[in-house]
Amino acid sequence: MGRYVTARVLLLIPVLIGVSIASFSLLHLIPGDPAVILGGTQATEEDLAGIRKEFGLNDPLPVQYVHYVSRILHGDLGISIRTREPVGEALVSHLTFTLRLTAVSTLIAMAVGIAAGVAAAQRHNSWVDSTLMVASLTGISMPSFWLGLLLLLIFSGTLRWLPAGGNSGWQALILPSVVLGTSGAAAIARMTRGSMLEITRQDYIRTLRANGIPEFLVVYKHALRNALNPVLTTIGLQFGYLLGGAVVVETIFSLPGMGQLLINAIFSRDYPIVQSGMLLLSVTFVGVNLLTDVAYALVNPRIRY
Amino acid sequence: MSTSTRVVGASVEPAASPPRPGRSELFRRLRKNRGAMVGLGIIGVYVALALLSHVIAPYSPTAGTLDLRLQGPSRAHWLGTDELGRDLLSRLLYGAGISLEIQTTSVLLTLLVGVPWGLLSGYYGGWIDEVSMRVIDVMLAFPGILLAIGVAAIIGGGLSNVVIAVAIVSVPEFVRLVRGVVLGMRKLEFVVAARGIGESAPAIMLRYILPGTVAPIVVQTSIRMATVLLFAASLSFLGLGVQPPTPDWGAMLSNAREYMFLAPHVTAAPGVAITVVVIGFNLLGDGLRDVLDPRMRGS
Repeated sequence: MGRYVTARVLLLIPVLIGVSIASFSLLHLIPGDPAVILGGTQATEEDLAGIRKEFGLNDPLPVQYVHYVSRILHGDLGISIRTREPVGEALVSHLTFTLRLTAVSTLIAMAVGIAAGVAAAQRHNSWVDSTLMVASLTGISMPSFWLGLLLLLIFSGTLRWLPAGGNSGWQALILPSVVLGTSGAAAIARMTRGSMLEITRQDYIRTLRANGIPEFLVVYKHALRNALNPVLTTIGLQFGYLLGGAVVVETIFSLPGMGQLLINAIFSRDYPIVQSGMLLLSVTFVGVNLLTDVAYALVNPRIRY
Repeated sequence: MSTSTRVVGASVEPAASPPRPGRSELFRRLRKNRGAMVGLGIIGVYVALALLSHVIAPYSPTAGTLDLRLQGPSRAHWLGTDELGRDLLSRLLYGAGISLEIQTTSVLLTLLVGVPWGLLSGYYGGWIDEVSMRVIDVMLAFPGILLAIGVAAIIGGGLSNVVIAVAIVSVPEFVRLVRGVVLGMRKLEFVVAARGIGESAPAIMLRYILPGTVAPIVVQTSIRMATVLLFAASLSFLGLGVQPPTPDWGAMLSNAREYMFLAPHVTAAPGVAITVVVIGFNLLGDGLRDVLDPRMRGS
């Protein structure tokens, strides 16, 4: 197990180097002078000269990259062009919110997805199975922003049960979490159903039933435990996808997360925020994928390097 | 001696690949797959409406009358009008054309880059494969929509840039898919035999390996057409994709957001359209997977 984790962590090093190069390149790929991009169009020649000196923009690109990585490793993610505040502080508070939203959405996706998948598999080829599978297909296919608008219309506009957005307590998290969790629940339901159908056809399940073990125990104690192995990977992957999806959902509900921060930064050309935001989300995504792989290896001892 | 060897070699055809069901058998199986047929029907209607939008749309998609703004469905405007008094049905039909254009061009671009990349990486292996897989790992280190947003932030919005952004996001999946198939095939008897009789690497890749990748590529293309539409609509919804007044479905929903409490009907048509078309491609993709690659069923 230790060897597997070490190998998996070592494989991350080139990925993280690549991600840092991609993040560094963002500023240089955008058309225009990086000094003007960082200083804004209002910056004077003097300001621009100061920025070029501060960020070493006159140095060759490899030297600039080394300085960039060194600054990041020291926790210096730059200064926001718009607010003139350290990028790191804004990112941490917004990332915390996004992670909370993603975690709640993943929990909803897991609870609904596994329950629906088990129910569909237990009533294979019945109307329950068909209905749940049509619902999960719709859940996967429906754009999250449309579902968000519909739920806003119903629960905030018509029924006035829930707030339309903002950060006003836990009620404000309900609709965004449901919207974000829907596609995840649909994917987990499909995976759980497939896995349960495969497991329940195996000999040991038939033997348990033949021995008169109650169906409830056969399904939930014996079948589900084994069927959840591949589902675990799906859940881990879903957390990563939901992290990306949160960017869109936060915009609909005006939530103070990474999504809104990034989109606003793109429109106001606040590239230090965009650069570091992309980097931070990517590192989180990679970290979650690593944890998923390790968790999968823990429950499935056949996975080894 | 060498002449004789060449003559003998030239007369030997490499051993045939494992027998696969014929084309007519595949069509028969696909016709029996209810989901695939429903998906194909949805896609057929979508493509027909998209291609005929200029003929069948009752009004211009961009010209409106302010006196008629935010009107509900009526005999004159079947789906109602938007905030500028433009006919929603006409915008929806023209929007189908734009969505289809984005989907086909970006998936084509993805195939043009991803398939050769995966072929070369899998066939040559070694450092070429190592380097290319690390690049793919870096691209996959960003959640799909985030990568699309990042690319859009660099190259800007607009139709062609959306196509590029979404294509870049799709490339890694195809590279991995094709590479995986090639890795499994390059040690097969008929490929080794082709190498043995002196066929060149490009010829082996094109004549013997590429046909083996077609089935998984077809399945993935159908599923990807669905994802591409969702990504492109998301970009437009966020204001980073197709820009107004172009009647793009995502942009229509973005505009509708401001008026939805006043006129809820403006959110209905584009949302239903995106969902139905994505369902169509997902159903066809699932059906194709069952028919072409039963091992992947349920994945």
